[in-house]
Amino acid sequence: MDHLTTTKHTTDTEATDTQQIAGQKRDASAITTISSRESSTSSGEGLEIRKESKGEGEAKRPKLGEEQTSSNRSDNNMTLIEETSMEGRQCFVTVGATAGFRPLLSEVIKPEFLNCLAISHFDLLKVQCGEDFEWFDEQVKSLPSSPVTIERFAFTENMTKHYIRSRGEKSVRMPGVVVAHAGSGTILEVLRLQVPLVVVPNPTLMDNHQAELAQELESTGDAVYGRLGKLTEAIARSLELVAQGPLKLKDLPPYSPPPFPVPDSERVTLFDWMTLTCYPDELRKQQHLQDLRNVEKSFQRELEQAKVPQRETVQDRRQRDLD
Amino acid sequence: MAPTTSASVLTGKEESRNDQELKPDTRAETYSQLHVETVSGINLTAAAFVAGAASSTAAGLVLSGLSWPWLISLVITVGIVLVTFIVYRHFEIIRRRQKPGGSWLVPSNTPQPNAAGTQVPNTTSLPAVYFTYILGSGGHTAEMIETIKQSFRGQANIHRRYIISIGDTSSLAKARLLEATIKDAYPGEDARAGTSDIFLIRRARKVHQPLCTAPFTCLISAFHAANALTRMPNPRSTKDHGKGFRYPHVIVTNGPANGFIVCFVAHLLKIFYLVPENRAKMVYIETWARSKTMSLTGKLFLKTGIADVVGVQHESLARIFKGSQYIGPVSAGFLQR
Repeated sequence: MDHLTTTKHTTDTEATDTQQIAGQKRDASAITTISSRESSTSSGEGLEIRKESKGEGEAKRPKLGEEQTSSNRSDNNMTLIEETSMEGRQCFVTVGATAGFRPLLSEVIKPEFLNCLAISHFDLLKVQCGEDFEWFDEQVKSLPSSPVTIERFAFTENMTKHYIRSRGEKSVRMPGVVVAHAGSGTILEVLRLQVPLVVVPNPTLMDNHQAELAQELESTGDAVYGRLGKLTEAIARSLELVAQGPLKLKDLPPYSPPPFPVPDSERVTLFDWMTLTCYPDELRKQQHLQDLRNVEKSFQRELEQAKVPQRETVQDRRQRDLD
Repeated sequence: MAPTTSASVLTGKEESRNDQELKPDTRAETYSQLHVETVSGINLTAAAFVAGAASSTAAGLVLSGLSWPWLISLVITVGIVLVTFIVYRHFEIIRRRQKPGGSWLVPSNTPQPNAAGTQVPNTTSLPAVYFTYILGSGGHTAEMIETIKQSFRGQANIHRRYIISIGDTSSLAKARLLEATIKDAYPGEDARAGTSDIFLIRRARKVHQPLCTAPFTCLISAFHAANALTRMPNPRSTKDHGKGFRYPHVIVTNGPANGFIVCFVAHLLKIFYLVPENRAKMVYIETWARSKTMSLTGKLFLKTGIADVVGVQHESLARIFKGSQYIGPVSAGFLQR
């Protein structure tokens, strides 16, 4: 556990270097970009390895995206500066902590998928491999070249940080995507963090309710149902949803964890009511109060409905007077 | 013992007559007297004593030299009486249960101030509020923790007990983290953090365990569960208002086997009058992931009728499975807003 965290620390700083360099590379011409990435050879250290061109790694660019506020920039140049100074898109693939998911891992390093990511302005592919880490590592090392940086690790205690790297925040980061197995805990956390999500059910684990969950999410528009073999379409669809969809996942404010305890008006009260059933007198009294309140609410609603036609007739009369 | 409990639980009319006579401040004490002392005479040690007496009687009978046909018919008679008793009690408990419905199980029923200014539902003036949460494995625990967070309120009269399987270290860590978060929200001497404890119970059957030893481990598991359900919380005094913490008010589970086993044990305790009927209300919450089918545990709860509320988080599921209640997306915090 310990050495995992230390490598994580080093990779954090190195990862930001990667992002800065990636940002630089976006500005540079296409040819130099591809050749510079091709020239990098992987040098693995510990569990967290990344493909990095160390030769160009020294130039430090300040993280404009995170430090600049909108007041520093003129409105004319805002989009251009925003685009070049914001953190690039990350595609974070996670297979979960309980079972392996090799088909997904092998699909995300196929050339079609990597090219699709590069075309869509992704510059980082991060993969949580679970138990297939060694196998995946070898697969990546045997790749001739990759248009996108590939980071990989087996497990981590802090998934939130990686999800947030894919979170689209206004002037800070371009929205990426999380490609996740259909575990409800993972899905709930990603949706809670408002990160674009592609759910890929594991066919070998199919006890039917994984696909059911993915289908339900697709129909409510909360996520994209990713099918093995059609992931490029899923990514495209996800980006489309982000750009035009109702969820507004593009220009979010920086993430802040929700307040705890939950404010009283939003709390779940089921268990309180059940506790009250153990005290029948108290329950009856409070049910009565609740009923009174419902009566009060319906009275108010009736009053409002009664008022509306009156208002119209007054306006109608004025119209008639004018005419 | 039995007459008092049946009087207080059966007929609402009788209670409402006593209602006007009770003053508000004495009501808390009266509750603890009415609903707890009535079964204080019977507890687990007494039950063990009875069991010991029964087995020694049986041994004595066998050794007394009665012929085999007599012994067998005796055993069969006792067996039939026992089974009849259990079945009768089971259906009696279900019949007398407070049916969910009316205004108290509407999912959008978030607390609102009423005309009097107090919020409804209000458990702050109760002598004790005692929740038992059964933490299953993996994703179930994550959803349970989120449910607890969504329903949490800082009150001094709340005690939380977590029941976790031995060996489930991630659930243990999550429970501890949740308690630490609560303590951070009410730091120092603030009593509104409430109290909590954690009980570890043995799993009924470990993976790869030979089936022949399963009945014994099941029994041990059941004893652990019974212990976790009836042991008085340490941080609470055993006198006065602390008596309200004798038995849990609500048992919440959302998942796998050990949730059903603990609830089954709780139901057995109710059958044998070891836990009063108006305690240990059981809530089963189906996972948010399920919108069209119900998990096996959920179906078990529905069929056996053990739980007071079988809650589902999608209306589509509530329509398919009669007997389940739509309780809203309780474990998907972001959807509440």
